[in-house]
Amino acid sequence: MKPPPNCFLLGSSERLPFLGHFQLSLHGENCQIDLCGRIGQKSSPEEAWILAGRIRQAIAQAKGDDGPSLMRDCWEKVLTLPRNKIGTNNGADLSLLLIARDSSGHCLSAVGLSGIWQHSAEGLREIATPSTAQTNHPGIPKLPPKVLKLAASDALYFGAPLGQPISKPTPESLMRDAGVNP
Amino acid sequence: MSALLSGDLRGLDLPRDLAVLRKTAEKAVTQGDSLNSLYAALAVEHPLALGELVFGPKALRHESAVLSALTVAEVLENSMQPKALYPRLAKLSPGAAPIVLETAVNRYPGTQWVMKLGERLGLVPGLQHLENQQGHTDFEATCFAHAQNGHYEALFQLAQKGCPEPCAALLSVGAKPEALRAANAALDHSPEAPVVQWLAAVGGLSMDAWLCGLLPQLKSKAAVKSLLLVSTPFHDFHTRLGILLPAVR
Repeated sequence: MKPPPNCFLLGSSERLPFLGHFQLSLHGENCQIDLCGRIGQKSSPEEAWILAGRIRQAIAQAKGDDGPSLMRDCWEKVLTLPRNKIGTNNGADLSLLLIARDSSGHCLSAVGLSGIWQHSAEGLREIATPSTAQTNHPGIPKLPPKVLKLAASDALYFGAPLGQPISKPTPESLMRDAGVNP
Repeated sequence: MSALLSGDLRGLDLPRDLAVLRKTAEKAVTQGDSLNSLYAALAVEHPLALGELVFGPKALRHESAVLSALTVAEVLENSMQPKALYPRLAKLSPGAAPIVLETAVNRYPGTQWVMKLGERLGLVPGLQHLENQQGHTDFEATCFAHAQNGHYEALFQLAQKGCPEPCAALLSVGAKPEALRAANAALDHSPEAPVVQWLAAVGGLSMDAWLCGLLPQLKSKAAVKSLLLVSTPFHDFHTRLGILLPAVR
């Protein structure tokens, strides 16, 4: 059975809150990567779906022996995507959160996010804020973003796209805003 | 124009002068003068006399009189229950009935008596406006506004023409069964209607199980094939579409 995803991107407060959202899980022999993102915020649902599909398909080709190497290859796939195939603004509105897991633990990297939260048995923890340089780069960067190592064996991760105001989230509000069914 | 029509009720002694008031109002509507100011003044000072003119046994039957009555609907509802008021107004002027119905739907979206009123009048609330807006750039916003107003049947009828926007609008107000029904109707009309893209833009990517609700009503192979191309992010839905494909014509 397919394991449930462990990372989610929050919807916006627009009429189409999940426009251009995508999600994917990749399984290596000794590692797994979950990712969520969005693109095409100025596009129609049909166009945004196509753009999201291109990124999804590109990342799905990634390979790696452990969490960090799989994550590096995911970024490689994104960075080498032809810019003219990912929207009229060349991917500048991309938000992407990747969580890799292997025997050594979790690691995270992201672009286009104004906040990241980790929800585990220990409670809810804020990992990144709007000023976190490693995760707030708007859109596709020139180089892969830095990787943050995390201490948690079992956790859910929530990302807020850049520009989205979030005040005092709770696990329940994050689940709701991410459109996760109760 | 008389002082009464401009809302100046000085010198009027009600109920004694009710006949004078009625005569003035009748004359005004036949001459094309508006009753809005008069009704607004009566709503404040003489709501009972207003009720006599608007829905009493000798109520004014002219279309413009009924439309003016709708401008003071909130006050009228204090004198007569809404489920009796709006049918009465619609009966007084069939010409004004569509707007009477729209007002009732906007004030009491989704109520049984409004639905029955629509059926009796042979009208679908919101349909005319939605049809007029179809093809305009703000059609999406119009659909969402009508969903907020409870115009589910009108949205369904638009979906029957292959439009995906009504499906998304219905989902946005939590009308999940209606959204599925509309999506199936859109696919019946246009197998390539982008309903999954629109529904996902509203509901997100965690609605795999809910999307499977589309499957029992899918009638065409073309629709199943079209959905297969876009359903990859929804694992169960995608898998079941693949199983269903050989079974549909």
